[in-house]
Amino acid sequence: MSTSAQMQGTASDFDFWMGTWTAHNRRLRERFAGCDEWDEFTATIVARPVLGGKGNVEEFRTDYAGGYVGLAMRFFDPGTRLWSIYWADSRFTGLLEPPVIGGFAGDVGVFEGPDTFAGRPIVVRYTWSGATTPTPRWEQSLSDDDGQTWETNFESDFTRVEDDR
Amino acid sequence: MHETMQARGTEHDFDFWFGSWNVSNRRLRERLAGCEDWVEFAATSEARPILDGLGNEDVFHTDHAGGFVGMSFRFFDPESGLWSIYWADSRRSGLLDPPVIGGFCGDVGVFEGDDTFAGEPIRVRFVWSGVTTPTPRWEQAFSDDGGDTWETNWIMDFSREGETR
Repeated sequence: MSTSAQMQGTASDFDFWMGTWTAHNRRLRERFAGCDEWDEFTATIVARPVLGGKGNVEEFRTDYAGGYVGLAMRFFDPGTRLWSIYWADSRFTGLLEPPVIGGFAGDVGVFEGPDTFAGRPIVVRYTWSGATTPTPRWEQSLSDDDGQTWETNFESDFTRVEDDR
Repeated sequence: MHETMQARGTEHDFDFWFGSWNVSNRRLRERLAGCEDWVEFAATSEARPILDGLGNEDVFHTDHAGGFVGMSFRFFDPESGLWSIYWADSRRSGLLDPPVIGGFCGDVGVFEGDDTFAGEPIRVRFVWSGVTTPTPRWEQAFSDDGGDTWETNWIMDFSREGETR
């Protein structure tokens, strides 16, 4: 957690993200399996502020894999100046997974948290880059050796939808 | 948990809740302190579906206590037939509190979970009632003895916005 714990921020960190985006996604077909086959698909994202600007909610909608809707909920703690990010998914609703926690340094944001995969403890990392550019990127990586090595399994490149009202 | 675990439901359990509401709040001034002093204040609430109907969110606005915004996120698990309810608050944004879990039987819904209060473990219970009437009610109660006794500390009575309170 050393990287993300040092990256603090403000409630404005995700201002760049508000609005409507097209996501070009690459998703690793199998995780922790030495797989290097990637599925490519698109999604539409709508992000909006909540809690008077101390948080935001993003809806991720795709036809991929039979179609699903995801929901990212991000909450800023002014005390720690860190963001907690939760993900909900129409394919497995109910209890939320543990959040990833972190912040930005420049236009790179790193957010990490513990979770499980196939019953084993893992670390989940979200990395934002190019947040101040017209084409931000988001990546998800998992580590099953407590952060020594990482496997990236999801990459999204975003372009803003022009008539964004 | 015996009451809540038996109350299985459907993803339509909160359909009654969508839209805008006026909220009459009565909130116990001190919790788990033998206090009988209640504070009354007004709020508004607006609810809508998320995750293609497998969840919903509401936004609670009030000018009370300097003004704050609260949000509830509710996620339905079709396998267990239970709802998980999370609360986020602009006064202490960051990590979400643990969820309360449960469901409805008739027009009464009971949702319980573990949390802490002043560093001590407590049970938290949300009770919805009258949800098929024009004036639903929500109550929050805490128990610091494992659910043997409960202290109600917050009551919300709802009426549709635009209607006489």
